[in-house]
Amino acid sequence: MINWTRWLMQVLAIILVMLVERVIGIPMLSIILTSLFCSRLNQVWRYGLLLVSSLIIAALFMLPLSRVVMILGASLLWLNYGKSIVASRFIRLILAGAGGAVVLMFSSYGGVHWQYLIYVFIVTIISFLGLKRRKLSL
Amino acid sequence: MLGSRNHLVSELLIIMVLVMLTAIGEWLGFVQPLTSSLERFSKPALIKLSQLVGLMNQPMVLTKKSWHAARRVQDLEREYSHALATVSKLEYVEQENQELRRLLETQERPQSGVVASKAISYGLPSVSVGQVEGISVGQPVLAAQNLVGLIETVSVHQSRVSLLAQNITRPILAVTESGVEGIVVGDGKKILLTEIPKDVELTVGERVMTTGQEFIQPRLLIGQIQEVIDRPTAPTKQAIIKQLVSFYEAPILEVQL
Repeated sequence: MINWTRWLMQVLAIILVMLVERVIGIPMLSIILTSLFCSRLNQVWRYGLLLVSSLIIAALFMLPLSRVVMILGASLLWLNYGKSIVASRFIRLILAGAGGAVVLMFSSYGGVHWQYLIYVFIVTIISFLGLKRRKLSL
Repeated sequence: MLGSRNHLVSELLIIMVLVMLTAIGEWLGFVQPLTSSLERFSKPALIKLSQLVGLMNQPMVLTKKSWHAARRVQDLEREYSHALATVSKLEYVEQENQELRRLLETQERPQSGVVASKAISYGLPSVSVGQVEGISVGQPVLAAQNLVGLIETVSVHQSRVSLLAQNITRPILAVTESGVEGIVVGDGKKILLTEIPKDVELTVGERVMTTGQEFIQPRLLIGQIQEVIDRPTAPTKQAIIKQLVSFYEAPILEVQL
């Protein structure tokens, strides 16, 4: 049984992160959060969240919706089924966020600025330290 | 193992179907009303957030600027006195111009419109105006009457800006104060005045202005010459242009229609 309130809170958290990332320029944390939340839901709610998240990314970042769905879908699949390639779920999640964000930017704008890569690097380090310290289960 | 594989295949199929459905939705125009509504609702939040980010960034900008503050003030004082002299000359020319117009009984040329806007993103420079406000690709973006970029992509309520330093695909025709003509392009980091003949002299500090082309009015200030690059092997000279204002620091931006 899905908890509606929890689902909405997840959507709100993603929206908040997306708004901040829109000002910064690259939706890495948004992809990480979407993949993480989606992977914990059952199929109907998972794809509902994926679509809502994609729609907001597409609107805020002025990107084609189908491309965003494709990238988020690929990140989700990678997170759930990439165990045989990368065993650690945490590293898969970070790779999904960083890879997805860079591919999305590159395919849409034809390039990625070095500032974005610094942001990706910083987010990776902070996520790594933060999650390790709090020992959050992924 | 087999179960996991089956799950993977089924999820892959679902995602492919979603991608196809959204692509068809985009093609049929069902997606645009949704995204434009989201853009409209998110606009105030984006403006507030970018102002907040600007405020947070302020101490860093001030620290960076304070290194050269004394010299900058001297430069500004010199430029101010120069500007005052130019203004008095222009006032005289304007008066003369108006009298000539009156004599010729010509109507004043209609001024093209200007839309004021705020920056909503720093990573992907964007402004909070779009198709609804009459914005289209190629229009110039001004900060304090200085050309800082061109509109690159337009959606219903927002537009992405290609800053002059990143503007590789849309060259801008420009002229210096001394009348040297060239083409302004970006190399990703710097703004360059290119295609300058070898035999002409350029002075550091000269102002660079637009000469006028489609969408871009003449006499829009781009910046000042900061450095002249004259490589012996190159057929033409280049100059690096320093902008006096920044897209990121301007409280308000204007888009010329």
